[in-house]
Amino acid sequence: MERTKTLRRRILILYVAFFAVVVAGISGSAVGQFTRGYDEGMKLSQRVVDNFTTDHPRTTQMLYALPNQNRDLNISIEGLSLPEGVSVAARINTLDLLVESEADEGTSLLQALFSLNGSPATIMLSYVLLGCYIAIFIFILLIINSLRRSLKSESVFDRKNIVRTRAIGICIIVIALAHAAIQHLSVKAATALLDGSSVQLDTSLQLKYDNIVMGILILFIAEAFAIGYDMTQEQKFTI
Amino acid sequence: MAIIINLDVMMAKRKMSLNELSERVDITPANLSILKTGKAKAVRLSTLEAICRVLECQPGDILEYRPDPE
Repeated sequence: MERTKTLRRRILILYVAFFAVVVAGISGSAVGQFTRGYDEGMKLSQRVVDNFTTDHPRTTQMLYALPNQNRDLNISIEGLSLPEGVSVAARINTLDLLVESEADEGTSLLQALFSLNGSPATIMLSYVLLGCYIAIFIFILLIINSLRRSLKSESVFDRKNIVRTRAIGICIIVIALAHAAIQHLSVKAATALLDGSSVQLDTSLQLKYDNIVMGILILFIAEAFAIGYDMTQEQKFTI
Repeated sequence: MAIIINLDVMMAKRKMSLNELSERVDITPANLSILKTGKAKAVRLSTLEAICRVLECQPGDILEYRPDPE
């Protein structure tokens, strides 16, 4: 009885902590980033519309956060009062690229607006990313809720939770791969656009291995849950 | 499962119902039903001892090995 109370309290703390982190994350950074991104997107879209409705329609392509390989491309910081012997330098790690070009004959305004994010592949991968993030959020919610309810029936391992945990692991791996693919496609497009210029982009695959390791660990945890479930079932049918 | 549990045969011989056996062996009727219908995956020796004591029989009277046809 005491053990069940302790477990329920822990689950409740996890529940509250999960929502607190989500709310803090959303209000602290995501809202700010979304607002800035939305404002920039609206200005850019307006620019596309304005460009497109002139006598010479133009399309606009925007590629974000391209990894910079040119280490000489630095900004000197002036006007700071620093202690003696201390110097500060800023490094440019990423570049945003904005390219305007003549629109091909027959290009519609919708196509021109879609060109903002680059190729259809990057747009599709962005939707996959968004879907994965939403899925992870929902699955964690369902797992914590299910754990809370399952304590009453004293059956912690649940076949559905095992499936959800596996799904979370797969989503995290997909997110890492999709991020890398989007960046690779953007860099490829940018390299073609910047052909002949002195801008050097890092064309190596920018894969976030820590996310992939986390995804694999979560898959391991799911298999441990599956073994626990089988053992629980066996125990249930031991008379 | 190759091990068959002939609990119902012994219960019929001793003219004992499931509920009565479950009370005397101190196992719930639901668990005893799992045992009787062959759904059990394992039986504790303590449970087997209690059943044999109440039904006044040997383990071999309740458990039978019938290999699966290959």
